Amino acid sequence: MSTGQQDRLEALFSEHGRFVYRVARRLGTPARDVEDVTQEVFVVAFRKLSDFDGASPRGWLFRITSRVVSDYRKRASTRNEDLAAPLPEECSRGSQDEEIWKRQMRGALDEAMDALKPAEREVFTLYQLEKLSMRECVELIGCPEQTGYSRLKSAREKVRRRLSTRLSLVAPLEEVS
Amino acid sequence: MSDDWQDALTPFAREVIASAEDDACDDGAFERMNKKVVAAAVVAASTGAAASAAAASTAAGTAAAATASLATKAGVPTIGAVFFKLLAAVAVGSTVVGGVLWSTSEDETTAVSAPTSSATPEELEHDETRTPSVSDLPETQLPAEEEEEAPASDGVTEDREEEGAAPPRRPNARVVEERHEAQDEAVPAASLGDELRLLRELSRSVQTRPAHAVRLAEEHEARFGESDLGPERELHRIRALIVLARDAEAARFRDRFHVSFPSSPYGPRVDALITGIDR
Repeated sequence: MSTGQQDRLEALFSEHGRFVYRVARRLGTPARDVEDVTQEVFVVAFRKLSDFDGASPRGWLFRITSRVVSDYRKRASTRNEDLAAPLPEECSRGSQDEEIWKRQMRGALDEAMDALKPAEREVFTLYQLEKLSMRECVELIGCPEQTGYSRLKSAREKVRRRLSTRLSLVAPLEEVS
Repeated sequence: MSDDWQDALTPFAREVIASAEDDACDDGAFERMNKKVVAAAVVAASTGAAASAAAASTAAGTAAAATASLATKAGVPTIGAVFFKLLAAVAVGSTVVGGVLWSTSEDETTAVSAPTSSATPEELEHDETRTPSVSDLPETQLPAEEEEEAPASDGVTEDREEEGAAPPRRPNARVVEERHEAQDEAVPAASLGDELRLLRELSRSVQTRPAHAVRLAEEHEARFGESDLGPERELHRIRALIVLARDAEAARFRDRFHVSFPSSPYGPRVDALITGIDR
């Protein structure tokens, strides 16, 4: 690896590493593997660096991330891993409660987003969670804006329904008096 | 498209969506990945240039590992990225590498798989980051009932053991009596009012703070294990687990419910909850 290549790789990681990490997580990589998947994304990027024209590195990395995560999930699926499984409850108390609570909520989001098709998950991730504009989203994804909105609408409805279904399943009972 | 969508969600759903804010990569992870990315790229470059010499990879990995491990053991302070990269490049570049490179983190030596499609899930797994399951917890943190033998007729026992999150089992009368005696000595007697307050908070928390509700159910079980209100507690616990999407656990607690309270009028309701998940 030449110094020039290494510098370029470092610059890419420095500028986009955190974005790739978050997106890899939100596209469906469990927290335990997100560092490895991020690493894999940049190694793939390194291999393709000579073919990259330099335009929109974030979009280029996003597309690589999407493919790497997709491959990861297929491999995990063949091993029957439950990628959406929320983290289990812990019996600790006190100052850790808030952290446990957050992890529980994050597990519920994983479960809800598991209902999405990959294309819906991409736009939901970028628009709803990364807070990008729809124009930025479709530039990264590479689809027409109207398609982006359509996917977002479908994704939102699925997530909302999934979360509300959870609650409707457990409709309040008569309280203990 | 406006973002009123999120505002229209239930408080629970909004909190679930907001939990994604914690996906941010912290500085420690960023530094670790920065080192790994460069090291793995070195490996990838070397692999492409010398695929025929895969047999030398073990030796190369060992050499790199020894170098890195030695540096760590010698107390070399946080090796800067540049120095690390130099080490990796020398260790890997001077021999022919096929697959595995070792790198150091601040306090450990970690095997880093070359991130190719041949990497196995086992190689990728980070056990140290895994949150412990119920079965991982020390016994002292579990409700006392879990220490008892399950009834022989409990058809779910084997299943529970396999999945590692077994719900506590129903104790026999003798053990309960002894435990109550012990409790009488250890903790002040709790009144019916205390129990009702606890159950009321449990019931109210199911939809708004389900994780808290699960903890309250555990507390109720620990303090009022043989209460006549056990079926209510279990019903609310199962509801909270469903809200948290912990479906497998909810199903196991449903099974236990039928063993513990076979004639409870809540039985059909519990079944309907689990059926609702599967639908």
